[in-house]
Amino acid sequence: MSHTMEISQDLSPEKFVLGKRAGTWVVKFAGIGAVALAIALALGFTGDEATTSRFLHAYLTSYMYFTSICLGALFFVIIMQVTSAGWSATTRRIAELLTMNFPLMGVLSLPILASAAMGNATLFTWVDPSIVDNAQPGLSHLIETKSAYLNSSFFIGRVVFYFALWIGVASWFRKNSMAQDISGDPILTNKMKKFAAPAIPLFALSITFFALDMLMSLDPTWFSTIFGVYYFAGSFGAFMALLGIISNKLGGEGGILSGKIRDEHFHDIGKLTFAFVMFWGYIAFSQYILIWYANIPEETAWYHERENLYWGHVGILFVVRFAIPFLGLMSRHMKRVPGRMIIFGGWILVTHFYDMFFLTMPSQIQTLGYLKANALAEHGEEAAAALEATAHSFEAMPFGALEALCLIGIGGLFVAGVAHAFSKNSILAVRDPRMSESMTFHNP
Amino acid sequence: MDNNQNDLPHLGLLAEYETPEALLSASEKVRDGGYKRWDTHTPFPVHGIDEAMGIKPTILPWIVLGAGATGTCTALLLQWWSNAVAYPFLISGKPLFSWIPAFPITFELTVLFAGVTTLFAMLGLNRLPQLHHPLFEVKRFARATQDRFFLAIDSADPLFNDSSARALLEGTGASAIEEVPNMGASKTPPMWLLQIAVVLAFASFVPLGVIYSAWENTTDKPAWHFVWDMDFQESYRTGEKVPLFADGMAMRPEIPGTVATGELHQNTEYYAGKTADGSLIGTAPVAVDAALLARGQQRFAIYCTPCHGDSGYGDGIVQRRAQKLISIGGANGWVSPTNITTDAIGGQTDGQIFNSITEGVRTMPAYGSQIPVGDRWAIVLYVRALQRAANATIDDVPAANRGGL
Repeated sequence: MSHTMEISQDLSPEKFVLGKRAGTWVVKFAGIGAVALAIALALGFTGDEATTSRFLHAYLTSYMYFTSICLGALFFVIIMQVTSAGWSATTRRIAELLTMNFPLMGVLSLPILASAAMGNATLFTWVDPSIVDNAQPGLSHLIETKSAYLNSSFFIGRVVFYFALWIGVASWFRKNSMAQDISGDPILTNKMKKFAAPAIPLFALSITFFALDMLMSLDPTWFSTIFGVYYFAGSFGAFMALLGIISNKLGGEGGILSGKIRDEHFHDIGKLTFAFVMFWGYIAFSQYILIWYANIPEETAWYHERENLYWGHVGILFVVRFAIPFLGLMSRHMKRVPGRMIIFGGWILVTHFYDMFFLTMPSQIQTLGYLKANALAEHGEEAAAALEATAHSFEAMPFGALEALCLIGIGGLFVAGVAHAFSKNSILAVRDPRMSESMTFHNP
Repeated sequence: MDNNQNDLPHLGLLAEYETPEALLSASEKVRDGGYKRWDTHTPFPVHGIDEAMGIKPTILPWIVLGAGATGTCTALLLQWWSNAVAYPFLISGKPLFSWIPAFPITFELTVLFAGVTTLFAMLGLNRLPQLHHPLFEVKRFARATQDRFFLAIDSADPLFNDSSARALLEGTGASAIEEVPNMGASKTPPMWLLQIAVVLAFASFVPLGVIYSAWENTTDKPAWHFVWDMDFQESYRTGEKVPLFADGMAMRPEIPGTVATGELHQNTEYYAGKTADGSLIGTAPVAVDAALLARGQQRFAIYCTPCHGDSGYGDGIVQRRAQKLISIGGANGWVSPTNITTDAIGGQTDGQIFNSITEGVRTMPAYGSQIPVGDRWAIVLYVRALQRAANATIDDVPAANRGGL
């Protein structure tokens, strides 16, 4: 026990505030992000309908990508509390600080909510089902039957509710954890553990419906009951990858958390990353094999867009998002050696973006088809040809300026938010009762 | 050394420690002393003991990886070979072999091979199971599962020397040092265990013997049914009455407006020998060649010769038997088979003959359900050949062969 006291004496919260080192990032990244986002918004909302549609899809891709990392961080906090995990005590605060981006992500949902509120059906066709009438007469009936759930006001209400819930849960955990930095009261740990249990189903249901609302409803006639888990599996894997990178940077030689985050932590973070690479592969494949086997048109249509009308997305995605990191992270050595996790963490973060791209962008082909048919019926051949040209430019360059601007824009603001949180708060839960365990444990 | 092991005064030295830290530092000293055959025993896993003992990382992961890869390959080969090569069977238009449905089996077999290998390779690498270990003879050693930490140096170690090993252990702060007694024969398992093992080994051949004898011999006794509901399924047979459907028939009729695969017979000239308006066609709608005639000859021999005879004169074995019966007053009402080489049949069109085979004529039954349509046309052509042969003249025989007649 004397061992424990010695360790906690040299820990004071002030020592682990990054301050200016992170503060300079805030201005830089916020500036870059704001400019990129402003250009993207300007381009997106001044162009023709096809451009607006493409902008909204591109925006949603990046938006869901960065939101998924916040969600992964929140789940990490909850799950580490509920399992009384000792090993993660030195890394948990990083996750708690990442969840400080929830308000930012809530504000950034405005363009998506606005498109629904304004009746712009170029992102979500269910906003105005009549958009499909010229392309596929009768299809709007299928969409309208779901209008009790898929309508603009209920959709906006749900999204507001999700963010209220996440901000509330995340800040409650963060506040209690930070109060412990000062008081060192172990009762707070018990309190957080008690609340973490009911937080799990709340989190599970909210992330499921969030994924259904934001991504699955892009094609309102398609459905997959595993879809929420799919998004969750990718989200938590991506967060673990990011945590691996941050831990390696802060816990490596000369880092502020050097000695607090050790190779044992790299190993454990690597194990969870590896597990969720497998879990993602398992879920993604389960969804695919059932749809492949049943071969029912209304289900295969979604994969048809992604496998045949586009690139060979499905096969590529399984290889890059599952097979390569699976083989790469398999050995104990790879997880423990500092720096390796930066490579594979980066790989997973890139391929997770690819996954979000895969979920979102191909729906745009469908929307373009509707828009073309409408233009042909209402404004004649010329208008349709103009849209056709936009569509062609998209097929030639699926990741173009709009996609890049949205990624840099939302990404810049996200990084600025993280840097802001790191510059103002201690990045180590210094007086967590399991701190000494976390600093001394060994993997068998 | 093993030869005279029974003569050794003891099998090694056992040192006891009160804390894991003491054991760790002692282990480092023994490791640095260069000993190879020694081990530590603790009531719980002690972190850092591997490094302190200088144990090299185990090769178990590589064995498991190899077994897993073997499982992957086995599963893929098995599925590919059985589905695409040995017994190709098309299921709902899916490819005979595809990676996608092969995945679950591949995953299971990979895990199975890897998992089973992990267990047995771990046991093998640890030389387990061991029925007995000399350390159990030391009474104190029982506390290795409770609250004491032990370090044992085997006297079989090439460096082992009683006094120097004892001095080394004494220098590590051991709370006690004991000799591991040499119980001589304790290395061999007890006799009763060997006897049971021999009996079990022989007994294991009994099921194989039963299977072999069942394989080699025939029997008039009914089969054994191990899985009753597989052998006697609650399924209906053709023509059976069932309460499930309004018409009470087990055989379901084709659904109106549908055509089963391969049953779309739009070409009525070929399938029915009739034109679209229902009149019989004149000439067979098939390309005539020697292979088709040979097929016709063979099919004619199977289906037609019993009554019509080899040459079509209506003198097949059934007719000859009927004549025999008539000659002794039997076979009342017998209708003789037709001589199909006469002008009456020769004057019929191909379509008419085809129709006769398909639908039957007077007492001749219909063969449409027994003979596939292609074979029926082959028989029609062979009948034409028989008619030609029956009415041949010497001019039909090639000049070179006429001498043989």
